[in-house]
Amino acid sequence: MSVTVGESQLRDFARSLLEHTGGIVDWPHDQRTGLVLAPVEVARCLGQTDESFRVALSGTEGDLSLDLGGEFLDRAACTLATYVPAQGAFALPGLNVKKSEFARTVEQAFGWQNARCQVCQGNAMLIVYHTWWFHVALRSDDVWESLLAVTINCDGQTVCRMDGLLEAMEQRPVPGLSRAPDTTIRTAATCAQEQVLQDARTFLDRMDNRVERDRQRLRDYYRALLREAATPSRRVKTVPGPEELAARQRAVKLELQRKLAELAERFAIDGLLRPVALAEFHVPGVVIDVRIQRKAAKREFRLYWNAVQKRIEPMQCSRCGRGSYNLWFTNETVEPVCNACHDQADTGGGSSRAGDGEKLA
Amino acid sequence: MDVVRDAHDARVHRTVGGLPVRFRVDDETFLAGSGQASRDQLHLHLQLGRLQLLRGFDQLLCLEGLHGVEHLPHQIETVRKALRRFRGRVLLADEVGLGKTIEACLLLREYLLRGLAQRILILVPNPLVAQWRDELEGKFGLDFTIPPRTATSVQPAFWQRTDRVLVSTSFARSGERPAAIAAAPWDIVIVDEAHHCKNPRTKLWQLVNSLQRRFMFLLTATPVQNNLIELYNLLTLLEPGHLRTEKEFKRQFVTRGNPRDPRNRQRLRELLGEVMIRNTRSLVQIDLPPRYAQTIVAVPQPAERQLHEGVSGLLRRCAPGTDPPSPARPAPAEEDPGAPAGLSRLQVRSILAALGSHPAAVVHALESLAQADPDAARLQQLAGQITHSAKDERLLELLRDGQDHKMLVFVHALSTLHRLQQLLTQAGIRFTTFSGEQSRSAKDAAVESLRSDVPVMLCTDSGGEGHNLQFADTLVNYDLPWNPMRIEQRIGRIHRYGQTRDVFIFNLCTENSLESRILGLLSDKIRMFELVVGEIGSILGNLEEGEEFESVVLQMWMAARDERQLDQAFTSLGDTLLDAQAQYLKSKELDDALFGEDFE
Repeated sequence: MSVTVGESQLRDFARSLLEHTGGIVDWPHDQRTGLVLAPVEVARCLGQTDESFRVALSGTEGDLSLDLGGEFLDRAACTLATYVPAQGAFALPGLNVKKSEFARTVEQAFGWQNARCQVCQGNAMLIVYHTWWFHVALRSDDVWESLLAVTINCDGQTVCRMDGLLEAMEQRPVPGLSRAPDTTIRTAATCAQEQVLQDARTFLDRMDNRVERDRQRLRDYYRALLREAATPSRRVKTVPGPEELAARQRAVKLELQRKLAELAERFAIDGLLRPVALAEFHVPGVVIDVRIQRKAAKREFRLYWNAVQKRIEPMQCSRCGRGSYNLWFTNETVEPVCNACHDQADTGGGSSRAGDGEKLA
Repeated sequence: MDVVRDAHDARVHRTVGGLPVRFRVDDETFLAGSGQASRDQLHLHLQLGRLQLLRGFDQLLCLEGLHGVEHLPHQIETVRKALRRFRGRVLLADEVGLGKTIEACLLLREYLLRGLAQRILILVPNPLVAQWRDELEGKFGLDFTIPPRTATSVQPAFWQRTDRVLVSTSFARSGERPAAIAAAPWDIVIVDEAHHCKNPRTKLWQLVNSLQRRFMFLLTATPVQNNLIELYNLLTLLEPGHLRTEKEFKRQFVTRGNPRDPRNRQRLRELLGEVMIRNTRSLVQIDLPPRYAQTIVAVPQPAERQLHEGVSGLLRRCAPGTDPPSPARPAPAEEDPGAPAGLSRLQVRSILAALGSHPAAVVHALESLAQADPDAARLQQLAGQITHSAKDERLLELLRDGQDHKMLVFVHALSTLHRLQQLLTQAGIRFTTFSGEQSRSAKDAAVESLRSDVPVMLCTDSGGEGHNLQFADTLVNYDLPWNPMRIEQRIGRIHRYGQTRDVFIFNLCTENSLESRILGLLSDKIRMFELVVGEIGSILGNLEEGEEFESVVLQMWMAARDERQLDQAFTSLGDTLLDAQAQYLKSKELDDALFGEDFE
């Protein structure tokens, strides 16, 4: 019996799901159907009335049919959400971290545009990261979907490109998350949105082209209608008065507006981010304390030496939340501001984050 | 980066073309979760996420998990085209019988599964409402609300809060409803028999034009009824401006003095090809063998005749009163609380249908009435005493004569089915049974048994749906549904794609029964059994103003005081059907000439 790639993925997933939720699966690899004995509540969650049921690939007779279009994935999602935790914590031991002289490293990594930086000390310790996986969907006239991961330094709130930590061989589970998920989800979601907008550029361009084509068609049509409304018909003897003509034109314009609004509504892009899983990683690294002096004001910050990426992580811009190595600081509260936000403030564009009104140098 | 934040709202991004991109984070359930996941458990969640992505690419989701829906290659191709090329705004103009409804339902399912649609409005001519409801529920598992015939359906709130509505066009466009329906936003609007939207001055055209919708499927086998301007009006509903203004359209494409004759035919076909899909039989190479029908009238025994007369009299005494029938006049609600002697229209219909089926079905149908009415009790007793009906004898003759053929015998009522099981067993005729009561495996076994072993299968109306029964070539309607669409469905079990032999249909009815009149109408007047598959739907669809066919029949029966009046009413209905058929044939001729057989 031949099994397609999609089917084999479905089968592997179903088997894992059932086994992780306490079920026993008897499903030989060369068969399209298998037998399952699952805890009654799990069976119920999967839409089965009996704890023993037949599972089958699409198009084959069975109690639980595995296919992409049917109810299986929805039921599986519900079962997973109910019976399988989606948040875990892990430690990565064994990374070679040496406490050394960091002053030069910091100097090389950062550009302090309007402040002075004094490196105080570096301490080797475990740095906590949250890796979030999001299922992202953009819905418009069409749909675009993706699964993407974002890793956030829980204390520095900066975004780090550290894919593959979950696959690291030597990680070991640690009990419980040391940082609550809600401390990083906003930053992670913001970062994910930006990544989506990059990844989905072709899709967004396609939507732009489509809507423009449709707008143009509507405008041409209603413009032609307007012209016709203004021209008296040869068949009708009586010429419409100016008031009647104006009323006709108003009606056509209103109809055009309505159709354009309908078009805009139809193409408006609705993005939905749904967290799928969260892993907390305790990674050995070095925390470097620095003191920033801006005019008379001083403030201490922490920088992080990332032992996986082997570099210092950027600082988070207080306005847009993005990480940056080129920083400006505000006069009194010594808030770090990235180049882009600084330029925006300079050109009068205002801050991209509401509520921060302090003037930049 | 090309996408920028909106100057007024930091949460909104804008594409280069200015489309707003709004993000939401659905994290409530996730943040409420607890427990400590292992690496494998996290992988399991990610695996599910990747599988959900598989839904999004090249394969159609609508085909998976569907049971009992036979979809043909041209239908799948139509769905793909409508999704990709037409982006959900399409005129589905397949020739009759090629499955426009299935195509629309597949498209609908695809949009629902992809999360692109939630609020659906389906507008269909009244006689086709039941057919649509059956298809949506039975084949696609989609529940739709049919608006109640009460003040509720005039209130905008009803249309705002009901996500899936199936409504007849005549109902939707009457009174204050158009404004209420137009005030609600819809993701998908489907209009069946869309040629009724041919005139922008009609309420229906204006209703459809005023609807707020993202996607729209217009369905008709005959987009042009009288002239090309109708096609223009139809397509303007779908994509305003696609054919420019009416004046420009006439100038470019209509021969002066003959609005039926197109100019610049090739250019017109190109433009139509951007918004319309038309599959023809020759294009998709579906040519069914002929079908032959014969009506067999059974002359009742005295006891049976007495039962027919008795039950008819009882029902006339107990049924709610009514005005003379008209296919164009809406019937009162099914449940009529004002009916004398407590009999509702639904009860009357059910007892009449049982009477047309078998005395055993009458015993069952009169059960509750017999407890309150001594006449009903007496008739029930009489029905119980009739062990062999006249139709039973004729059925046995048919089965014995046709031993070389695989036969399906359709019955409406379960009591009749059980009685026929006894009859065939006593007569020593080998048979199998297929009914809605059975499990799926029992149904599979029944079909297999018919294929390889026994010559006869007794079926209820669900008979064989989703199974290939083309190896059978003979069908017996032991009793007759009042709705021609249901008769067509029965025939469609064997007279369908894949059938290679001539198909024989035998319709059994008792002399002078209501069913014999319906058969006379369908068989003799419009020659339904000789029509191409699907044509009856187009004819009934032309009765846009009318009620569902069975309601019309019931209405006529209840309004007639005697047999003569009933005959007159059937003659009048026959004329209406003939007009509808003539209208259909005229349009078909015009459409064939316009689009040819190779329109793609």
